[in-house]
Parts: sequence; structure tokens; C-alpha cells
Amino acid sequence: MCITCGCDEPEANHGNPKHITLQQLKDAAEAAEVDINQLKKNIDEGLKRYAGAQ
Amino acid sequence: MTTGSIWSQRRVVAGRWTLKDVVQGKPFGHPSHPPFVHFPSALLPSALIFDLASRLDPDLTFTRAAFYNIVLGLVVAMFAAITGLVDYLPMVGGSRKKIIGTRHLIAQLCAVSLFALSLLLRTFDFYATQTPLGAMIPAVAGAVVLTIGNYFGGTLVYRQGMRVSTDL
Repeated sequence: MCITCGCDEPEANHGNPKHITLQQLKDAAEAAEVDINQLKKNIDEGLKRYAGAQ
Repeated sequence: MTTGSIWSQRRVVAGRWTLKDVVQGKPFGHPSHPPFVHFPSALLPSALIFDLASRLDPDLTFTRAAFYNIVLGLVVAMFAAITGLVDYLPMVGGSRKKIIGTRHLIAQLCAVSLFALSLLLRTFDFYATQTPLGAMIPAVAGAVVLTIGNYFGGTLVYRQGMRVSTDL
């Protein structure tokens, strides 16, 4: 899915580059040399630490 | 990608597309829901216009035109419902898109039901030259609810960008 909106369209940015696509996350994982599971964990931890996510 | 157990991820068309992809219109490079939604959106309220015409100028032509507008509108609405559900069901619960989609779904279901009721009431006096008021009331309500449902559908597309993408 488009990671930010829950639309079930993994590569759709809905005409707005502010939406995060699956490919962008894969590219980020590759750049950070982590697999997708570690990327998920890192994002989750980052959101908890810096954005008040539960 | 997992979209829930109701959707098979097996590629059934040309080794590339799942059944869900095909119903969504991906092999055709165009979302499948929009081509269907305009017919009920136009035909059902048009029936109401013919109803009003029949009240002003009693004529079997007007009542029949209204009747068949509703029939055709309801038939195409079934295709709109199927293609819409395939887009709607995999949305993530609690997301803004799914909330708006739920409102759109409920409104359109109510609208279609009201027009179906209106159609049923018309069959009791099939040769009337004036549409009975009893049949017009649910049609008026249906047209209002349909407009509200269309507003939510438009919000999904034009504001939320649903199925607006280079990758359909």
C-alpha cells in the first residue's frame, strides 16, 4: 500500500510527491543497507522517539 | 504485499495480473470504477426530471422514460458497486480514505435502494401517464442521497487522489 494513506496502492503517490511509496522505502532500505524488516523497526523506533507515536 | 485473505495473490492473467488487478482495471491502464459511476449518476436523477415532466404534461412517454432510466441506472450501478468494492475492501481500516470510502459506500447503497423502491412502486401502475407521488418521493430522496454519495466519491478522487497515479 501507499505507506502513508492506507489506500492499498503501493506505488501510487496520488499525484503528490509528499506521499511515501513502497519503492521509496525499498530504496531507503538499500541506501541504509538494511532489510525491509529492519527498516520497519527503525522507522517505528524513530517515530516513537521523535514524533510521539505509541 | 498482503491485502487480506479474501484476495488471492495468484497471478491469473498473463502471469502478471491477479483477479483483483483485472477487476480494478490495471491490465487496461485505467481504473475500472469511474467508467461505470457516471451512468447511474446521470440516469437516476434524469428519471426524476422525466417524473416532473409527467406531472406537468401527463404522457406515457415520460413515465416510461423515467422507468427505463432507473432500470438502466440500477443495472450499471451493480458494475460500479463491484469495481468500487474491489478498490474499497483492501484499504487499511481507520485510514482517512477508508472512512470516506465507507461514507461513499453507505450513501450509494441507500441511494440505489431508494431508487429500487421507487422502481418497484412504479410497477403497480405501469401504464400511468403521471408518475405517482408515492414513487416520486423515494426518487427525490435517492437523488439527494446520490448527490451526497457522489460528493464523497469525488473527495476520494480529487482530494485524496485515490487511483490517481502513474501506476494504476
